[in-house]
Amino acid sequence: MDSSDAELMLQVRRGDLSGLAELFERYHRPLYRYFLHLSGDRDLSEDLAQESFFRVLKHRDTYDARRPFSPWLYQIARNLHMDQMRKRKLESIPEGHDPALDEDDADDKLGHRQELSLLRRALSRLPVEKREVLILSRFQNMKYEEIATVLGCEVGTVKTRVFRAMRALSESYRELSGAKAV
Amino acid sequence: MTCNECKDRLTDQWRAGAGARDPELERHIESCQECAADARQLGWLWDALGELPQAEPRARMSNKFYWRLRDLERAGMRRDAMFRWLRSPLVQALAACFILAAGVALGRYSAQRSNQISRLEDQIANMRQLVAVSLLGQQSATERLKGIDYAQRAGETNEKVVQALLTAMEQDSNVNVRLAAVDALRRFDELAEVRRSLVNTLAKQDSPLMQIAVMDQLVEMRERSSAPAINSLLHEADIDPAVRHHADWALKQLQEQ
Repeated sequence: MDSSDAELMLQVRRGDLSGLAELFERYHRPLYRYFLHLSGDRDLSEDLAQESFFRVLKHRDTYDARRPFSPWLYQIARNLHMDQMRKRKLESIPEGHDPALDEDDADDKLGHRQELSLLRRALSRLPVEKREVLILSRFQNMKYEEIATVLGCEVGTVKTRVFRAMRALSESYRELSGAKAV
Repeated sequence: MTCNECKDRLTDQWRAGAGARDPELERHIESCQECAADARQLGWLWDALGELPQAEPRARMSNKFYWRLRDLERAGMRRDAMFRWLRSPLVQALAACFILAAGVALGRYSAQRSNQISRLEDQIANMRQLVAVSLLGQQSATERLKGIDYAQRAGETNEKVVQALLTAMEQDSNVNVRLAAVDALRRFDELAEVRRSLVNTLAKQDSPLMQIAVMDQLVEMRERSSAPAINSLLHEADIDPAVRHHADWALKQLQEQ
């Protein structure tokens, strides 16, 4: 039977690094995507994703085993990204950068592909706080309660932010698609 | 349902998926064009976001992570593991017992030391008292002054010392010795005998310096029973003007106290 995240963290606390390796296997992909959506930079996202796990190791004693692991991990990741932004003073992803679509050779429907490319560009143009709440709610499949923990706000605030971010995304998409109705 | 409530319910419905039904929300959307437009446009976008291909990290990311983890394991964590035995409850309990035992032993040792020091101090005080009494009986005024100095530094109240000081105050031929005795008796001013002797000696003293010193002492002790003695001193015909002035002051002080 698989160990729970909390059990793995207890292993990490005891100095057993196999627990950290297991947590890496569980979370490194979504974490990489979180950073990729925020930064649009593959190299940076890979570095930040793996660095997040070493921060987990560094701050292992601050983990509260009664609370879910994933929001705590994303809080660490978020702080890491903010540190990075302060260093680079970057907020929006350079336009036209579309790492995921570059890989997506299987999709042969050109029209749909263009729509998705446009949508990704529209997403990348959003301010980071709007982009972040959409990433967490849409791509990370986190519960509103978990997102509230990561962002440090109320659940109601998360819902409002999600709605506003969706509206901003709609406007951004409309601008890019030449003011056509979505 | 208000439009604001509708926004919250819309986000819930997007997350729940296309199959989820919310009749109240649907009724509101049918009656509100703006919310209907949001539901249609944003709902489409929400679904489209779900179709965005999700990038996969390259294999080198995992490789780098595991290399670093291995390095860490070899270096830091091994060192950490060396001291992990310290976190064992058994070791911690043993350490606590050891510290407790060491504390008790140290306490006993210091108590013994303290007793020894206390005994030595008592012995020194007794010696000083003996020396003081002995010196106060000497012919030389200088020796008697030394005796008073010893009496002042003697520890506990000793009857022989007090008697020797009272005798010196009342009978010593040298005024400096008598003055020093009055000062030394300050330490024993809680003894009734000392207070009574100070009051009685006032009429017997002929030196203005002694009269003033004794009055100072009586005022300091707040000895109100000395007022008649001071008053009779005040009415003596050949009283020194300085003593008269001081007696006036002393009486006022005692009345105010």
